[in-house]
Amino acid sequence: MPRKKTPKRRPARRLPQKPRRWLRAILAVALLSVPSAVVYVVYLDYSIRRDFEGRRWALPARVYARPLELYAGLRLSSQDFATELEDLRYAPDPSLRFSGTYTGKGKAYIVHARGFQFWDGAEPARRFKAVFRGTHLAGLTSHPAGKPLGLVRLDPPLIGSIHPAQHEDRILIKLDQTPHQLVAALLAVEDRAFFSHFGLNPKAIARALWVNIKAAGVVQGGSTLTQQLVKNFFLTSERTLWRKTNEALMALLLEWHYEKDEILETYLNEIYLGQDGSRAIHGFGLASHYYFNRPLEQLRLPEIALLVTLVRGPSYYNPRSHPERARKRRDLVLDILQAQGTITSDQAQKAKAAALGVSQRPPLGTTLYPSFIDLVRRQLRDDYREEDLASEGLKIFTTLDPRVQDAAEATLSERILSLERRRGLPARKLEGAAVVTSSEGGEVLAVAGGRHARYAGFNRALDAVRPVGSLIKPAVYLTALARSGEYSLITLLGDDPLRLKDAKGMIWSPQNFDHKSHGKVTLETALAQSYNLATVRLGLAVGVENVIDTLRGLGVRRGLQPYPSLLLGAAALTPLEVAQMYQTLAAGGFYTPLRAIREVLDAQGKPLQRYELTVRQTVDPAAVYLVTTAMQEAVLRGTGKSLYWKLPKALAVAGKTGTTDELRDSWFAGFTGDRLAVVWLGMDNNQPAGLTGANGALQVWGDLMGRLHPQPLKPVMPGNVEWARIDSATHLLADDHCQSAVEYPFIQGSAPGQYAPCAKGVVSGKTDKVRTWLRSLFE
Amino acid sequence: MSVYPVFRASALILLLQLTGCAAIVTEDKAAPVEDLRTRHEGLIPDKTQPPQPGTEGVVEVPPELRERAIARDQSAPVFMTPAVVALVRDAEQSLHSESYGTAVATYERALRLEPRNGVLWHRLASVRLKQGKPQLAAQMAAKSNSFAGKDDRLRLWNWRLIAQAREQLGDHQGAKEARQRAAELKSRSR
Repeated sequence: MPRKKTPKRRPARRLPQKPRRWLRAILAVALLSVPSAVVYVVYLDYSIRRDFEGRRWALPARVYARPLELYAGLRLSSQDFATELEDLRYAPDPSLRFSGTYTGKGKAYIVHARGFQFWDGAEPARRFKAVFRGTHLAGLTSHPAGKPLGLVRLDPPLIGSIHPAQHEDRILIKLDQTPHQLVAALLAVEDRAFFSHFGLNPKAIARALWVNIKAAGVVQGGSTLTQQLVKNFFLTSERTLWRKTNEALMALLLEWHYEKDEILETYLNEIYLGQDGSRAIHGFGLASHYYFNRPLEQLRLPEIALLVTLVRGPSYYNPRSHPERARKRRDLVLDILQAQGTITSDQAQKAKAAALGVSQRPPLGTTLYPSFIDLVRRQLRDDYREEDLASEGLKIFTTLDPRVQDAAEATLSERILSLERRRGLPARKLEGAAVVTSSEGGEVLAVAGGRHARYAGFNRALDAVRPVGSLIKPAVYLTALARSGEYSLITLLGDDPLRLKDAKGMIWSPQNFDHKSHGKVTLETALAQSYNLATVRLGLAVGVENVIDTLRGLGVRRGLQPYPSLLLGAAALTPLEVAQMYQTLAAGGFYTPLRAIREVLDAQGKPLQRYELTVRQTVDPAAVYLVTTAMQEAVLRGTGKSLYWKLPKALAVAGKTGTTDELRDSWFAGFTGDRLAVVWLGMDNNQPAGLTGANGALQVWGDLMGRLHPQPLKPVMPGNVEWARIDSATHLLADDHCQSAVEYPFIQGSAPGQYAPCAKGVVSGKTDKVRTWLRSLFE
Repeated sequence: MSVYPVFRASALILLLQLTGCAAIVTEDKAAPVEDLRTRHEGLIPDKTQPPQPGTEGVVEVPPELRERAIARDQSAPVFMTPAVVALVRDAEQSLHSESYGTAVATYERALRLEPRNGVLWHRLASVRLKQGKPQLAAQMAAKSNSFAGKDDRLRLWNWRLIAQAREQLGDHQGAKEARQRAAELKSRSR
């Protein structure tokens, strides 16, 4: 507005126009900004609460191995028992005052077992004495009363956790389980007034400012634990004024919503404490494992002080790369604790004198058994969403047997190395996988995904889909033997060359391994010696489609091409799928789905779900019995016979070697009385490894079973199976007068009706002693 | 499990003493088979054993097991390990109080210790039948039969169970056949 020419008289007191405009503008901005400030604060509030609760309520699932069940007579060495106690983190303590302690070694242990809430009831905490004699647990008595105990179930070893993909690994700890020295040190060093401030500590900020000015640099921080926690939630670490203001506001909001204890606990689980390649180490629980390979509750004062040191700068004070710096600051932390009176000067001195104590190499991930946990996840996926799995604090009880797993990993790794060297294979190229199950129950005891089983890489046991070669043959013979009117173990097959033309006119001319043809051979010999020609002829006679039906009955779910080449194992399966197939044979024709999980409980210990034992008879048990006998022959005198150079014949193992074209895959699948195992060796790039089933996978299998002390195999003989002595020359019934006779099992009605000429002869012969003895084992 | 050779050996010795036989030279295939198949005889709680805490007088022994107790040959040695006996007791208790889930879990636990014990498979089948799972019950009874060997009485129980299961599934013809098998076994055992 243009200035008016005013009269001489003094104008009335009025604010000038311009300043009024500015004031109006300021007021307008101020008024407008209040709602937007409110909106902004509400947004911050929502965002910090979402982050906080997302972290707080995300309890990962805890995964346990099988609990060890102790009873007098159990085959268990005192060494394995000691390892089990170690896995369970039982501490030596002669007083046995607390559960989770033990005393003794060698032949006798006294243990104060922890109680545990299992699905089917609570196992009470109790003291017991275990006496070992050689390879067995000889005595199990209560302590000190000495009353015999029938069965003691130890608590199951924790083997890992399942975390959501987007959260990093955590080992969550509860505030009341955290060592008090850790909390004391943390507060003393980082935020003395934690329990009394409101999120920000003005005094601390002022002090820090003053100290920093004096030191002309940033020497001290003035942020509270709450502020540090908020800072952790952000993905980037800008230190702009804007960011700092946001953090301050959010700290206030956090304190407004949540209790001190909740904030402290979340802090303990969230604070960034290190970097492992691409994996961030958050929380004291995980840091304890990462730096010291031990759980937090087992750390001592100097180690606790070191962890608190890291809060201020995990890379700057990394004890592995900057040990001197770490040590200096650790000692400073100890000094602060002493000055406060939390520890005595004596304790401080001892702690300062102690070495840093970090483990040489950080452990890989938070589980020792990534291949097995992988299987557990997959089996759970059908019933649980990933979010529920990772956030509800579920307790998952699995079938893993850590001793079997250790044996599988060790034998696979050692034997692969030895084969590589002896055969001059390129280093580190040969790979393998192994799966071990309980033969009747179908529980998965071990999964080794590669020669370096502890690495969570490609899980060959579950994902390497490789042609199975001769491993398919038992299905062919099973199909035939189920037709007892047409085939028995002594039916003669022609192991003669053949040429087949496929739909495109291509010629397929299979060969035996030795490139010879063997003429007329018994069905049993053809399987035991793994003759390709006889097998293809047999398979074509019974029909490839029928063989596929048999494979389905055995539990093979993967797609199969109905071509004659299937009969020689052109089909590709994973080691786990092969284990499922042979499981049905081992269980006498009863299909039992392989299980890695027994049950799932919720965070409070309430039962949620069981993975139950189910059986279904899918193939003729009598035919299975005959095939099993032939597979025992395969190991006794057939392609698997080198197994008995290292294992006792009394085991009567039933098994099958498998070799594929150009020796690309080496397989062995076999079972004893209580254990079934499948081993595969090969190269990831599918180059020939140059190993047959016998000189490759079988060797691993033998080493593995050698460490497991399995039960001998005594296949159940169905009611409609009978044994008969057969003359080897004529394949007719024999008696003591025949020169060479072998005993065979037959489905009722399929044994020869006639006696051989030698049966009336005079010369006394000898029967196949080994076979007769073998038969006597399973009657 | 690993106890079998030990028990089998001691059983053999005991039998030899009882029957007054001198050292057995020839392979008498009949004798070893009998021993293995009487394994379930230890199922009946031994009255001389002190009862486990919490189980005094609570366990109701199912009828078929009671019959067995009467027919039990006093000289036959007991094969079921004390561990398994204790589990069976617990399982039967759970069954009695209709905690079928717990009974199943306990029987599965027992089967882990003795996977080829036909009686355990049979008892598990019974629980399954009570739970209303006739298909699974029949399969488990069939599995039990596979371990029965010459134990006709176990086969008899199994066929009876299979008959019940088939009835529940509406397979009346199959149930009739199963009852016939049971009847044959019953007449054979007399």
